[in-house]
Amino acid sequence: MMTSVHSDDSRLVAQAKRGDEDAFAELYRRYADSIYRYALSRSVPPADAEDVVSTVFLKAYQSLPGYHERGWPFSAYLYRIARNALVDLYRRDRREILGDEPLERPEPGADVDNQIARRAQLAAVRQALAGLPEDYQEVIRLRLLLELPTATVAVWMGRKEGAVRVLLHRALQSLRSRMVQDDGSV
Amino acid sequence: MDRSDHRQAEILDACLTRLMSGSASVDDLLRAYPGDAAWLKPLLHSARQAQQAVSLPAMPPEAKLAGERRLQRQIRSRTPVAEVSRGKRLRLAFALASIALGIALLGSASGIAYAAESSLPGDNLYSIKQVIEQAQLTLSQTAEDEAELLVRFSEERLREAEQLSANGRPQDLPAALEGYRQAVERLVGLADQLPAEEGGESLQAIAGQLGRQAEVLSRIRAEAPQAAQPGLLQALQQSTRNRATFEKMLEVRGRETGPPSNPGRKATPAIPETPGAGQGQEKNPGQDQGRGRPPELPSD
Repeated sequence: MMTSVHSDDSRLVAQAKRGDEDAFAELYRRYADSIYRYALSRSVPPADAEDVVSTVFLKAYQSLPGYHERGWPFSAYLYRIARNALVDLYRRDRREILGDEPLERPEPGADVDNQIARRAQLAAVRQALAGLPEDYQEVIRLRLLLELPTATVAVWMGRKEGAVRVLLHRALQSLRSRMVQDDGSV
Repeated sequence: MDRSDHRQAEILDACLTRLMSGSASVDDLLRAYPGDAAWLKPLLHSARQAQQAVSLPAMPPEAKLAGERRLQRQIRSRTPVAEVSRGKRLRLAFALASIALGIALLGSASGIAYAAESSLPGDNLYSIKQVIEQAQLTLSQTAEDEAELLVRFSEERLREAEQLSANGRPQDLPAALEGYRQAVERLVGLADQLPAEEGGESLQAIAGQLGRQAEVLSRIRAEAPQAAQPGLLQALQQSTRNRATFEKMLEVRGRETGPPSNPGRKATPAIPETPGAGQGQEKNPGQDQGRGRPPELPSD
């Protein structure tokens, strides 16, 4: 499936390079969500995440003439630009990218004590996540939070699929041990 | 990593795929892998908890549509991709026309461009030098070409500052330092299009060059009069900040595929509080940055 999407992207990129704005708009519609959710996964507030999406696609468009696929899918190219844009955002705002702000909404009607306990538990998970090495955090973001297929994660991270599976395995082991260490009840 | 770890990694990945697609529950998976349930169960629960802890909603449709329209407006307000080379030719023509006009106004064509090259801010020929540099930037075809020019121009601004200082012309120093600031800021804007470590103008090479430029600025600052100190301090702080930015980007890219960063690598040095302090403490900054090779960004 990824190969057909990949070759379809290649066709759209080629059309966009020739000045076809609709082709580039199609690429935007295809990947805006992934970039937006990736920015959210780095604790960027929603309004800023929308700006990140705009920045990423504008930069991608501007650098289209110099983009040559060479086995490097367009989605991976967008991801790389997004990572750099987030570094810029961090530099400008001195923002803590890996914060632990709660993102979940309170459930109406649920027991308040349960809600508080649930929030505390989720906050502990986020804290444990934020304490992981960066590559562990990244594989969890891409594979579990964005729910990308292993093959896509491998291309985006520049690793082999087997290496991504091993990295995820280690990341979850590490997350588990941190959660147990932080709170025996988890 | 032994064979059993690889096997566990493959089972875990297969289970997560089924879990995320909704085709199986945790209990289904534990029943499917009874011999692995002991290690699999806590990892699947951790994965579930991570997903529940961080909510990643889709981009709101109205925001997505607004973003698409904004992007189209931005694209249309810029030079279309297919016409970039024509746009560049037009800008070059304008730049060259400006040079020709400048030369005609000065009344003598011979040796002016050459003389302009060594001019300093405040000199009559300096504006010609700026036009020539702008034309060179306009002509550059790739981000790396542009970065190479910007590095050269930033070094030229420092050479000018050094010479102005030596010639006792501190009143012209701000112009040279402003030119330096502009060149370096533009360089930072190009950073995400440059390779991490390969080629002449990589993030690593530029970080090293900015480190050397900081040394030059420190040297100028040590000899400059009091009136020029604030501008020089600002330029020094900017150079240090931008070098840290390049190093940070290099680190982020290096983490993707390579081993952990070299523990022996020197951090960006703090700016000394007094002019001249700390000089000569760092040789060839940015060169000791061994790390893995990240995948290349597509480039020309």
